[in-house]
Amino acid sequence: VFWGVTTSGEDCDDTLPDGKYAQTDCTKVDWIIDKDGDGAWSQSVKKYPNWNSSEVGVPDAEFWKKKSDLPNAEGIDCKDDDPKYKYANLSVSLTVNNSSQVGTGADFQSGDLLNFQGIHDVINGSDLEFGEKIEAHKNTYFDELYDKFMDEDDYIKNLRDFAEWTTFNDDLVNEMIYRFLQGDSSGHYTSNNLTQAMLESDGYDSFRSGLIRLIKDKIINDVTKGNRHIIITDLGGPTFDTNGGLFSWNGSHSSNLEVSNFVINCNTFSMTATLTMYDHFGLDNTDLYSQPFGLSGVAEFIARRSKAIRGWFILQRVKGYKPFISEVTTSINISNESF
Amino acid sequence: MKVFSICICASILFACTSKNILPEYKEFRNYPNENRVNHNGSVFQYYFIKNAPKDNDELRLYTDKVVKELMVYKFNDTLKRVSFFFFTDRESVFWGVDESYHSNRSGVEDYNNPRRAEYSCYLDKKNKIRLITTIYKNERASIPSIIYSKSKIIKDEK
Repeated sequence: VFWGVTTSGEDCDDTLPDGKYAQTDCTKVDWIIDKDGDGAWSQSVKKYPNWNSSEVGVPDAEFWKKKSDLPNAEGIDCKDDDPKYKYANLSVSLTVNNSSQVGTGADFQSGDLLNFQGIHDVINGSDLEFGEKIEAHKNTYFDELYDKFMDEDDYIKNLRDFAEWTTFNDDLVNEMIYRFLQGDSSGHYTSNNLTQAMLESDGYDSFRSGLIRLIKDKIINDVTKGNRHIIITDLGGPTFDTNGGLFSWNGSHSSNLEVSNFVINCNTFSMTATLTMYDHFGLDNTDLYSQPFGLSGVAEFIARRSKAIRGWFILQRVKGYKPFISEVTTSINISNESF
Repeated sequence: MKVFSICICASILFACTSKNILPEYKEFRNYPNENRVNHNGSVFQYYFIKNAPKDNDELRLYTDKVVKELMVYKFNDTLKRVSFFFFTDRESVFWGVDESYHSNRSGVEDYNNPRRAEYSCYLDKKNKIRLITTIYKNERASIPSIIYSKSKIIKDEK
């Protein structure tokens, strides 16, 4: 029996002349216009256990009349007098719009400085104080002097020592240094080792929760019936300011989120998406003299004086070793998360 | 006499410290803005606000005004969106950001220097120019929390 309708046309809550309900012990779904009158409809489920029930549903005539008034009504919403509550089963799209393309930028150059004079030029063009420039020039003269006695292995040894102090694990250091030595900028470096280390890190946890919070804010503030699209501008990625990822993954270049399914249902949302995070394994001018890797205190002191970073800079920017793109991909599946 | 001198000094000190220094927006020295339209038809502009108001509402009033000055772009088939980002000094004296900007990634934004305000102007489906204003909490996080967000139509036609 559809909605408990009798052969004579009455359903659960239609009272017969003798005051009894047409059907007893049945469930009826009433449709009522929602509070804000935006053309969406709410369901009201009422169960009529027996004919003595005092519950009375919304009259059928009310429903049919209003539905005919709003032939283009769509969807069912919840408490949409509260802006936090969105519509039921509303499909939403999401786009990430990043300012810079992966594989471009100041930290993706190699061999552009030609010689040590190029490093002096970088220092001269920097915003360092006079005393700091003198110090930087002095270090560069010493680097040039050491360079006459150093070969590639010496540079790499310094880099490896520094890297093992500042990254997830030694195996990963070896993998990434091997990739750096291959001199291949094409293609993206992906590794189970890197992916596992990244996804288990606090930096990723923090980024993921920040991203979900951002999406919730966008749902609340941006999504309307007329605008079912979320745009995230310039999505960064996980960053690390403590030992754990500095060498293998410092500040992310950018991230992309490809959403295959995104549905808002009342005050919850569900999303199936693939998150891809990118980082450049490369140094730009500021890496030579600015706060290295965002470190401070003793760590900054050690990193600033480490020959490893200057050696890395020399390998990449003077000797032409090529930077590369590291990539970690994971899925983000969220089900009925409240916002 | 001593008391008088102390009063004078205190007055001068008070006058100096209570002087209302006006905020000023500047481009980052290490990351000057380019009017490059990316493959999504967007232009991104980044600014550092010197002497930024600490109060978020005051900051927004200031950035609202700045965006009105900066939004000189005309939308067309190539340019579909313009986004302005504003960064301010952080609270900590040890991690201060200056206008030269020390970033540990290849852009102006990183964990140490999160964005504070974001304005995105774009042409919506009904051919109206819409502005989304977002103010972020001043916190050291990859993605700072949003504390204010509003979407409004600022012009009916392109």
